[in-house]
Amino acid sequence: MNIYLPIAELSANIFFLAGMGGAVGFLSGLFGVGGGFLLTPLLIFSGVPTSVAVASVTGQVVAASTSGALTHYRRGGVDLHLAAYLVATSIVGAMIGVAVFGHLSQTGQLDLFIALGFLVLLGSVGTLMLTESVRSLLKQHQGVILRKRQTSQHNWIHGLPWRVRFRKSRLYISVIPVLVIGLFIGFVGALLGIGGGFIMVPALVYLLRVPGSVVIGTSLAQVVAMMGVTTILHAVQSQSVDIMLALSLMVGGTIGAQFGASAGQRLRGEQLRGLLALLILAVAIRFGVSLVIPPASLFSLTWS
Amino acid sequence: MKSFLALLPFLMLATTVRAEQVVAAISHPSVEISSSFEGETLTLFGNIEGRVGGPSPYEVAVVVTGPLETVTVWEKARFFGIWSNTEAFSFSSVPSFLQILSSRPLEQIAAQDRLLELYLRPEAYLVPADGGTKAARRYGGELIRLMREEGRYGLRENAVLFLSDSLYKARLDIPSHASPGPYVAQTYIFRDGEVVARKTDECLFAKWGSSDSWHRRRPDRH
Repeated sequence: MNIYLPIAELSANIFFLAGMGGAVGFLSGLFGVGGGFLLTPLLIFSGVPTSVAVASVTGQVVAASTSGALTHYRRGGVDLHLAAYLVATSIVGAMIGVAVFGHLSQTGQLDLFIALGFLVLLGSVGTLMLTESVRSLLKQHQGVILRKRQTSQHNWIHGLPWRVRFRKSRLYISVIPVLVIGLFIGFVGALLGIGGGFIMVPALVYLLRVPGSVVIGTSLAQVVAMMGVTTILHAVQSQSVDIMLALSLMVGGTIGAQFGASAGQRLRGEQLRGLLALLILAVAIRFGVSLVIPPASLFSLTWS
Repeated sequence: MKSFLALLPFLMLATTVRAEQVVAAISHPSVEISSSFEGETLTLFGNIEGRVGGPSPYEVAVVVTGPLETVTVWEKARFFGIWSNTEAFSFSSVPSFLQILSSRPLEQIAAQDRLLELYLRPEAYLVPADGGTKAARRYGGELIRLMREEGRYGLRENAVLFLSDSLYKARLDIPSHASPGPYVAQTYIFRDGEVVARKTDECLFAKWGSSDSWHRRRPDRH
């Protein structure tokens, strides 16, 4: 059964789209990530125009993150004060990202920069995660007891000025790193159509020492607010949010996430992280290869 | 009344000089692009009226054009080992869809120059009459090739079928990725390499639930 995508201006199989949303939803439930970093590349590889893929996945990420954010909020796992600071600058970052996105698509360089962005981002995050999980798996194998990182440990970031007390996170830290993280995530999220949870969570844990109980909830709350604004920005400025595409992906994604979450309970944390790292690296390599191998056609068309 | 009587001889003259005329139509005056749109098949049909019959048969050529767009052709080159768009050439007012249907191979219907003049060749839409620059010809050729690969441009030289000496029909498939907007069918009736009658018909493809704001195109398309 085909469905007409009014913005992509093509007809696609609804089961294919929902299935793709379901598969990514399964993985996002399994690993506890948003899945935007997988869905956007998958759509691009399956022929959806890059600009439509990025903007529509932005809408899908809002839907995928909302229920998670609400659940964490009810459990008291969201530091609203910290999230507000992150959201404030991430919106500024998203505005810059959408403007850069529009400029790149006009100058014909959007596909290139999106591929480069995914390659650099996923390549570095994937490599870091893989080495870390392989190291800890090896240590477990050798019977070495891992010393837990102490969250009270301080680093240079805690010496910066403009300190603010975040009661829920039990932190008294400078707002500068918080604002910089928000700005960066907003920019990258708008440009690549990803929620950025896989950057945000490590940044909150390792740089700011946010306790584990509020890290996921705060990150999700920030993603919902930021991607909501980004969706509107994309819809107004680049007019490339395809509601039918986003809706088909959401339907599959919501169902897939439930199965993924229950499957995830049977796997160990270190194994999960290693698998996720491999997946991230595979997407990065796919983008890298597409940049280097000679294209099927040297010529392409854009319309305006 | 007096003025009409004065005109009468000219009107009669006109009908005798322009002996043939064509009555043509498209099966759908408009097509709604709804969520279940998977393309549409149009039937173009017509009847040649007037001095029918004679030494040589009529030939029909129909050119169907979709909404006009500005299209940029990008050329990739290797830049520090990475393939990126480096050169570009823009064409304004290029049909987003172009199908030429005829009852016989076009070169047997009329001369090359005449076909170009009547926009019965894709090149006619891209390259100025004097042949244009070398770059225009090169990128224009690539544009036509890419459009053909996407199923937007095509030439079917046996698509127009005569049901009698004067009655003809042609089927045209519009793919689902065709752009919304007006589709114009320009019909030419040839005899002995000359156009003896012509007619223009239109079919509007509109997105379902579309208002002006929905019609605004996003800035880039592939």
